[in-house]
Amino acid sequence: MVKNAPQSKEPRSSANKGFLCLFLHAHLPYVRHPEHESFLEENWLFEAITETYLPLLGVFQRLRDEAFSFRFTMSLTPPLVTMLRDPLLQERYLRHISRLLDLSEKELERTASQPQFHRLAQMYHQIFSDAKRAFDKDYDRDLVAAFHLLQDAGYLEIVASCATHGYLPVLGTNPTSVRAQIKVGIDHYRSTFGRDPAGFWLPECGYYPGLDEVLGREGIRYFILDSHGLLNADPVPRYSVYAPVYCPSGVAAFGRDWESSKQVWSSKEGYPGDPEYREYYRDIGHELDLDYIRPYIHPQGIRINTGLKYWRITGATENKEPYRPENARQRASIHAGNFVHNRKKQVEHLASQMDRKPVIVAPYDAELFGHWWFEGPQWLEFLVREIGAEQQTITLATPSDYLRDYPVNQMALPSASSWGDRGYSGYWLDPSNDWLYRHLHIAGARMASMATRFSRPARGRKTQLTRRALNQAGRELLLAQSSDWPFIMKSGTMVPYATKRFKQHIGRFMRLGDEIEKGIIDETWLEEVEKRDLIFADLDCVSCFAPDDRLSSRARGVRHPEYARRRITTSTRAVSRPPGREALKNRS
Amino acid sequence: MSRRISRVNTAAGEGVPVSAVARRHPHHWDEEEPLSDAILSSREEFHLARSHELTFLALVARDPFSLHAFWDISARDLRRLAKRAGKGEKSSLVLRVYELTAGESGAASVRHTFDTEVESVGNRNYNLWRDGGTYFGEVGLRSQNGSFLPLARSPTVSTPRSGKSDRTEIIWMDPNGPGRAKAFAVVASPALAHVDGSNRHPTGAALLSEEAIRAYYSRLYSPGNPELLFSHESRNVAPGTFAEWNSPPLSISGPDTQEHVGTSAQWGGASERLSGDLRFRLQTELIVHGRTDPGSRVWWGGREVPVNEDGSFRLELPLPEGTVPLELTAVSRDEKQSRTISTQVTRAPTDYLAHRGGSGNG
Repeated sequence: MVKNAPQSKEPRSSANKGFLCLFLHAHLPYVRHPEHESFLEENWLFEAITETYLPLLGVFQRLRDEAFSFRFTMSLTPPLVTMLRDPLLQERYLRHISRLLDLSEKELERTASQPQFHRLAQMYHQIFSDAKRAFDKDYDRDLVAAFHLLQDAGYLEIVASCATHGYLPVLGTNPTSVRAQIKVGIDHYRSTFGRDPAGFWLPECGYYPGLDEVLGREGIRYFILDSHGLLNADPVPRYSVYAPVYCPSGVAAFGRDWESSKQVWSSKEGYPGDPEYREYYRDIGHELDLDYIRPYIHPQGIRINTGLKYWRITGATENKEPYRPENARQRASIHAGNFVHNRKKQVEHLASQMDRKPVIVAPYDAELFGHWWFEGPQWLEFLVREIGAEQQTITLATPSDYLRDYPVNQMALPSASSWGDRGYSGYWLDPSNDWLYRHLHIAGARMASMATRFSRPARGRKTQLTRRALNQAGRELLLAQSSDWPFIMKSGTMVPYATKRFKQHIGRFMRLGDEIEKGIIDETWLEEVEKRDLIFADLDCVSCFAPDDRLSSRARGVRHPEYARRRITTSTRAVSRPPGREALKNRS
Repeated sequence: MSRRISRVNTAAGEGVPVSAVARRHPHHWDEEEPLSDAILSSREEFHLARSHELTFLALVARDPFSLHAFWDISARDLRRLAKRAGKGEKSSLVLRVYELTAGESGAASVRHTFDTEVESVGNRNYNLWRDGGTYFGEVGLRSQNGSFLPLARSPTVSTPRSGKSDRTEIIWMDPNGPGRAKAFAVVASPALAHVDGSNRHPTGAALLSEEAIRAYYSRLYSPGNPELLFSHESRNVAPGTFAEWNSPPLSISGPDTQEHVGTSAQWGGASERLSGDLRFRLQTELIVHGRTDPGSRVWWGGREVPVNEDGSFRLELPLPEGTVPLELTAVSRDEKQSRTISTQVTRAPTDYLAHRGGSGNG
């Protein structure tokens, strides 16, 4: 039996034996292309709205309306929030969902003589109708506000995350870049949710010793680690991953529970692979006649997913059977019950070994529920109902709840880790993507140098223009730092798009830097770039990118000596129309 | 939404249930006409320069057993260094990795170094012998006689342990507790015997100061430099003031210690320089390569060895003095069979002998 921690408070909820912390991490890369009438990659957002965010909101609100008590922890990253609140993308989503409604009506006609598929077409028609109404009318196109209300009502604890989901263990070669990712992310959270965040989601759970200090300086109280990040902490955590530890900085680290993760993530043993569940890879966008489906796929005739899928997983076979929603729903109920049963056994066992109530931390990508695993939202709803209705062993809680009950915890320094493949940084330092970081390192040092050199208040048109260019340079750098680009390159999916995006942002950053240092800023071009990369409108690059003297030398970035002393020759060239005469007159 | 694939690694060691995401699409944006845009053409292209003409070196801990390095050396700095090295002096650009360890006095000393010839711009991975190590790197010119002129130095980085800590003492913390010191020890532990017990928590336990905590955690702690666990800011050897031949050692340890780290570093207890003028050094590397059935996995020392599609594998490692055990295990794709091959490689301690008159025969 582990000895008591001193001064442990009596927990608020004494009837239960342990806590379950369900964490949903919602993130998408910032994709917005006003220069095109439609853009394929914007569909990532539209699919997620229809298949994940709206269903999750529906689950939460049904549970709330039926007076179920639940607590979820969520992260909504700045790129996702920005896109969800962007009027252009909102309008395009309505166009997208209207097109899907139209398709589902055609499907109703096409499948009229095929009862098995006709009722599925009816199902999709209902889903798309509900989605359109909910988005446009119920939520007034603002899903972020809906999540905000749930937080205010006490059902959700939304945490902050990095500005553009930068993978910090590799960005850490430039401490000012790390601090900027964190600070901009937290500032964005404050302006979105009107409060300070208690917790922070590290992208990919990427942690290295010292990172907690940066979080602590920004007021963060906890973050989540992968299992081995906590298990390999120093000294050994006495409670394994079933209680947090405090880093030496005083910030708490919670560890992911592998048992609960395996039941959902595992391709061999996890629920989503059940034969009754809907097969993701059989979509009518790839199966039906091209002329029929053409209006609903890419204008150039590129087949894409539509979201209408008629087959179930069936098994390890290419001969899929028609999807049966009632059977799938029943499986979701059974799996939710199974999950709760297993967590109950787990908590009972742990509680018998520990002198405090254990906390089981179960983080997942939010997009798993509904998009990858169609029945995922149903499973979540069954799970909450199961926990709430029939037993008191487990209580849903957030990390803040646990820290309120247990303010005294063991001190240990976690190990560098991530939840990526093989548990460290190899996925983001792969031959397919490791070429990025030299450019990011240089750009990060350059940004820190410029933020320091041009830190005087902007008075007068010239310095105001310089400050605008600086702030835009900061945005471009943050967008280039997104971990989505190396992730896509390694996974081998939309590699040309990710490569183009990275080069574009770094290129724009370098050009802005050249213009700032030469004192000649193309205001017309700047204005257009500001409209394109429309994120972090209130960014103050000086406060975010200048080295922070409060930090110890290990966490502080310094002005790169090269940038302090000499101008940098242009290392990129933009192939674009030259600025007009008027633009050249606007010398800064 | 093709960005996401399931890629969570469970502690049970299961691989990622990677879903082969959406089919690739051609470069549709290249062929589409954008909306009217007079200023920012959709054909905006940026070509990243191979070199930014700056000088730096960065190291990243990739995993417990490997580092990743990337660097950029400006042509101007390289020319100036080469000029300083002297005309006619043939030299090559190398990246030297130093592995540090806490010496007996508590200061940092070099356990091992290894060099790799590099281009002026690039990146690469380095496989390591052990987990939980501390390293820094330098890029510079190495002459044929072995002298090394560093041009850029990386911050110090540490690789994580691959397993659990061997320290088990309990230190409790209450961030909202009284006083500045937030951590306190409840259980007496030899590891914390040095803690000044005059400051007490209300429970009576000894309070740990921030200094004591850093000392507890620093792998290369010394009184003069208590923050060695974490990376320092980059200390470039600024162009125009680059290190001289026989420059003073780069001091990482405290001012009152005897051991130093630097270009005249000592390792293995042997000195590379005897009294005399001839400079001569030796380094060794080990290449381990083999082959197994395609799809099988190979393990060595608790870490997985990357295996090519054809089942071949190759490891390049520095070879220090002493004996290096090599026990590799191959596991079949269906995990029903495994085989282990065991051997060892020994490098004898290095003798540095001086000969007069140029004879190599002693």
